[in-house]
Amino acid sequence: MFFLSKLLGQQVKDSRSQSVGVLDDIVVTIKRKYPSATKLVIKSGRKKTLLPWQLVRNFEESQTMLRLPAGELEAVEPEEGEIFLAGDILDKQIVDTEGHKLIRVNDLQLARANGSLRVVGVDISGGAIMRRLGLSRLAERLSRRVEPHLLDWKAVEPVGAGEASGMKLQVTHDKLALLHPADIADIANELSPEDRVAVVESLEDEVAADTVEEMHPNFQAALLNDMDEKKAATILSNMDPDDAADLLADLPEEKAAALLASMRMKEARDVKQLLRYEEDTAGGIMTTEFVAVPPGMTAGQAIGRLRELEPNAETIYYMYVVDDDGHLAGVFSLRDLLLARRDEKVEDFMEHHLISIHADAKLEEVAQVVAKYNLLALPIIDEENILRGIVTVDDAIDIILPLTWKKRLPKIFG
Amino acid sequence: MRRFRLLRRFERPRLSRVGRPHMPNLPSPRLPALPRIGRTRLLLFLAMIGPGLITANADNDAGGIATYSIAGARYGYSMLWLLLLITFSLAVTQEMGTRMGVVTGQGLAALIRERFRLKLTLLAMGAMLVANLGTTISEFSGVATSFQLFGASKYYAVPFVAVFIWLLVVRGSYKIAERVFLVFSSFYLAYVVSGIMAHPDWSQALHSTLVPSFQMNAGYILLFIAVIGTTITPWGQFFIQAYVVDKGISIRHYRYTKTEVIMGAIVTDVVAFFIIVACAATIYATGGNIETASDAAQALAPLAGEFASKLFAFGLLNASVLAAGILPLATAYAICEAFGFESGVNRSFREAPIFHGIFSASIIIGAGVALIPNLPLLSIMVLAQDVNGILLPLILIFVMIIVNDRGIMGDYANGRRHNVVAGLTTAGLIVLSLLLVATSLFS
Repeated sequence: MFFLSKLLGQQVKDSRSQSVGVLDDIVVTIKRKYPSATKLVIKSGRKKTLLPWQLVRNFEESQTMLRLPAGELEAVEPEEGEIFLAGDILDKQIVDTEGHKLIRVNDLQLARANGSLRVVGVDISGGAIMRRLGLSRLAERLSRRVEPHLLDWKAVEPVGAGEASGMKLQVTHDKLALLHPADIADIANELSPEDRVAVVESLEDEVAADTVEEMHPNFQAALLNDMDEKKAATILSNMDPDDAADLLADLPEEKAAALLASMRMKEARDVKQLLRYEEDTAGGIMTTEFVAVPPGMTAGQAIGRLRELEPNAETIYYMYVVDDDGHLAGVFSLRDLLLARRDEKVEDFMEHHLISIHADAKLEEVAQVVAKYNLLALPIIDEENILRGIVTVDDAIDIILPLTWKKRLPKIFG
Repeated sequence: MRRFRLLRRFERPRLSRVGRPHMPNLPSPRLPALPRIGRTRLLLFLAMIGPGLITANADNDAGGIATYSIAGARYGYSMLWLLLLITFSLAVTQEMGTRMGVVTGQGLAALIRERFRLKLTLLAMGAMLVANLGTTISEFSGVATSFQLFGASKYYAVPFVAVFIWLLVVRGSYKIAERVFLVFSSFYLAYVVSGIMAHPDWSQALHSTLVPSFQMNAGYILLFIAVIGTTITPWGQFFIQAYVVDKGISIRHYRYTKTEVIMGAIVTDVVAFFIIVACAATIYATGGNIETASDAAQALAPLAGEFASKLFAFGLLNASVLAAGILPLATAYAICEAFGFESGVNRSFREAPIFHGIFSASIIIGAGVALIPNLPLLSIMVLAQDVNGILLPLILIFVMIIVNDRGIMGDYANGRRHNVVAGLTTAGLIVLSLLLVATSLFS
């Protein structure tokens, strides 16, 4: 076992035992589960040379011996998928995929395995800080009492690495992508805008959309603004229309228009519709993901439709009946549906007298109506009685209990 | 509902999303009518208010007010022209701080750790801890003296303020804390009023502001340096950067933040202007002398009226409370960020013990030391000022190197013209703060 901090600065000697400089950095390929050393950086005076790891004959904590004499050492260039341990990882932030957070790397643990040198762990302990300050003995005495904070490399993932070699690493964030989108969002919130874009772009569309929804509202617009336009439009199309509308409203006009134009047709239409309404109106908080059926449908067909669509509608406890022009004609509950005969038409058992509210209604009104009539969802209509969306009871609760503190939990004040 | 759905999707992967069901050929709403797109600039600007105004005002802390009062009382209007220089330097340094925060999404301490490694970081953080602790003590003693001016015992007042600050930050929300701090910043207007009530000679004040003058004597030069050194501080650099990172300001809106930073610097020095003017028109004009800010408040009473005096004392209290709230926070954030400890007041003590430990300890020590009877307060303030003076050059050099590093700042690194301005400002500040330290060590 080696610690990177102890290796750096040690002598590197050539095949004639002549010093050629000190070890300045170790380059690894991150394509393996435990990254193995592929190159080493030697510093002699101010000059840095990158050499292939194959030239290393003998590697010890105190010194590194090379196979060739100084004159025959040929410098190489970094390749794709390689990172500099000291330059990219040490002292930088890295994702701890088990703790779901960013951690700062105080030291790296390396080990010999199958003839190669591999990174096996990340040390984030205070003991590592002491070790690097030359207080190893004190660190050891402490570490006997305090658990060493070593994380298996398998559990971490670098973000935004590649600065040291001048080329940004194009990594798929495999381990990160397995986290819950809410956790990915928490981590992304703490990254630099550039790394945030890189992380979200590397995610699958659906996960990316959920991640953006969960992110700090202040970062969402900036993120999509900086992102590849096609990817941004895809993410928007996958988001909840009401969240997408909020986000677009924060973008500059031209950018919002461009993104709307490249979004999927149907989603773009939903979002545009939502954008018509001011934020503090029923239209501004409604969702367009509800279940609606034509009056002539039978109960059996309606159940079939429900099975088909359920995954995405906000609520299925109410189903709305609309005519061919979208006019709201009635409503029935899941209970009504289950109790109806299979071949009964929905218009025969639906409730004709329904409570609805205009899209321009104030939020307090919405909350009042939902509370008064004990509704699970309230249909939102426009001037022509066309069903535009619904406000679910949980959104109505958010009107009364301000929601902002839930999403905005920034660090500095609480 | 949203979170619930998300969880469910997670358990049952990859159901393709079907948009809205059965909605055949809806008449599409008129498109140009999307009122929420492209909101007004004023609203955006208002949302950006905070970092510049709060940080710059907090720079006018208890020590700052004392220094300005003494400058006005001893040398009249003659030092007013310095304020133009200070405004400029403050705006330049704080702008770089906000830009680094917006571009990197990281605080200054984190950037120092990444760029300058562990040992230099430790040195900077150690010095900052000492300097901030000393400054916090001087803020709490500002609280103590200003309460005494109102006839309240410091043994009740200081613990009360300490608890208030602790509760505001730990139990309050971001929005509440920001608003309270903004209200405190607006209370600085008290100085404007008391300055006007002192009936200064406006034409002479204006003349001294625009036309530089200088006196060649040790006392003047020392105060000259102190006036500049008291406004531009290391903790101000750390705080403003942490603040913009937390506020989540994007580079697109950066120009608003930049305007706000410049505004903050101007407002801060307008306040300083009125403090100097108030003392110049009264204490200096009648040949009095003062040693502290509370001396100044007391001296104002017979000359400018009881109300002006009370306003002056209130200003001191306000400034001390604001800075006493901000300093412990800035300290805790910087240290945790540098060494990778969990931080954030929204985390519990168990989750972020070091963060809460530093924050609470700073308040307890600051308030506790300020309560010790017969404390050599002046020496503590001078010590804090000296450590700040040594630290400032280091921090400014770090800032200049980071803000010029294209690997970190990308296209937002300093340009050449910007560097000339920032370089001269930095060099000037470094020379002055070293001079300040040297003079206090040898006198």
